[in-house]
Amino acid sequence: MLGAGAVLLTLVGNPVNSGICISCFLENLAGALQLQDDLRMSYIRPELVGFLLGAFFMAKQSRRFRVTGGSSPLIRFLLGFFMIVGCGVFIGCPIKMILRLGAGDLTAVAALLGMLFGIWLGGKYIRAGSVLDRAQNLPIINGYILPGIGFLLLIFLFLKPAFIRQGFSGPAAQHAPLWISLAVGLLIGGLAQRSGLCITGGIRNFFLFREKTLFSGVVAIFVSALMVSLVSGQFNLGMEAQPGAHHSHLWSFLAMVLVGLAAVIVDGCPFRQVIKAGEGDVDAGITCFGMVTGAALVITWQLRSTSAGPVFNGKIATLLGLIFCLTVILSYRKARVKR
Amino acid sequence: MNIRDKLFGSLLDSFTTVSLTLLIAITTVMLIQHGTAAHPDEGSALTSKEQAEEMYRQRLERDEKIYRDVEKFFAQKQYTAAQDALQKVQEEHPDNPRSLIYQARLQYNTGKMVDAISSYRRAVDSEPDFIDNNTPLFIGKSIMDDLTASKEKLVREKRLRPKDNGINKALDELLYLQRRVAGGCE
Repeated sequence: MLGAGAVLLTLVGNPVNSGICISCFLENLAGALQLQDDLRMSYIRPELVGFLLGAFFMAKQSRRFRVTGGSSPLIRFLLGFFMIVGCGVFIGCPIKMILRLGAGDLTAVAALLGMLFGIWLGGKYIRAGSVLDRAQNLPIINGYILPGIGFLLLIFLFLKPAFIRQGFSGPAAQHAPLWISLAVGLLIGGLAQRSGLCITGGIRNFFLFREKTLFSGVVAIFVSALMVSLVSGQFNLGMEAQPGAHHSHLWSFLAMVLVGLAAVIVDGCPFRQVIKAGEGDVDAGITCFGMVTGAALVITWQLRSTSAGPVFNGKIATLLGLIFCLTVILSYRKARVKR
Repeated sequence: MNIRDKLFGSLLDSFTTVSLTLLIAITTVMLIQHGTAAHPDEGSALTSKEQAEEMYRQRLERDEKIYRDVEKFFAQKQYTAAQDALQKVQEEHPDNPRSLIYQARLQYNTGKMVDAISSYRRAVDSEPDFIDNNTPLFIGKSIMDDLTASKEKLVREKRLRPKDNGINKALDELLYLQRRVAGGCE
């Protein structure tokens, strides 16, 4: 559903190879809220609101709405920030990486290898005891805040108040009709909540426990994206003329090592964080705030790559992100050993 | 908990509930009032989308006038005359990025591939709407055609002169332009 839905969204207006991309959507959201000033990247993506609310409704309906939190909030905020930095340097979140591969974009191979390495490394550290603090049950009001923000964004989307910006050229203008985007978002959000779909989680579980359920979901996204790309004529195998891509393979690799590693520490890729925030996970909500901050700053501080390749600021931010991840892992490992 | 605490607690809860209800009611009334009140400029003001469309329309009209001579000579394949006309326009309108497009086309048609690619890059970097098919300024297809044709020639030249930095740089720029024109989130 996710893979096919994403490619179909590109057919009805979303940017090529970006039918669903959490980091791009968050950059658009940050622009719409005037947290960054690139009008071409300013639009409240209904899919994003749909993911959040779809997960919320599904969790409520299936009585899986559990409000927990209080686990290393600042660390999670910063890891959310750095995940989006990594996505910005590669140009895409893990879902977009799979969609790009499904569309024949071989420049994403280095990123895939990077993410696999990051997840493998993170898995090793988890086995060695580097795990963030345990979450606790919280009063239910805490779990309603993120879905409440989702509803507010939905109202903004329909009422279009003056302080919400929308670009009429560039990626912001490339969007599927509002109702289609929202419906697809709600459907995918609900199903992802039910299935626990997570790109990095699926790969991590496969590495750690040889558990194939979530991993088969990741494979299914790739296969469905590949098939719909082939049928719709969007498939273009190779490294040249690939939309929203660059040829700095080393930095694509490192950026996705960062995303994979950070995602393992916070227990979920950027997409999963949004879904978890919808089902009452306050820690994921904090990570989402970090991701929105990251989405605003990758543009304002010029951290993200362009088709010309990564920029100096982005390279430094990627390295800082890796340093931060390893420092967190090391300090938690030492704390565990002391105990 | 003694009776006093219970009573006070219950009073506090009631007070909070009443205050909350009042605040919600006041906020709703204010929002409705704001929504229904007549805003003096709204009748005549254009929406952002309409403003953008109007801006594009004016710009296309203006460009058509400015570049009429360049276009005319270019269509007649009088490239020297077109270059002279373009130079005149560039002096009068130095900031218009469409000059870079005409410059690139002239360079392409007179066999200066490396210069043409560089001009296309500057044009696209200074006006991304040239490769945005959601705007009336979009000319991505013709740029892509020129790039595809240039690529074959540049690859041939690279085989002949593999250490020529100019050709290598032009090929890099060409590949960059192909990725830009292909679309994506940029």
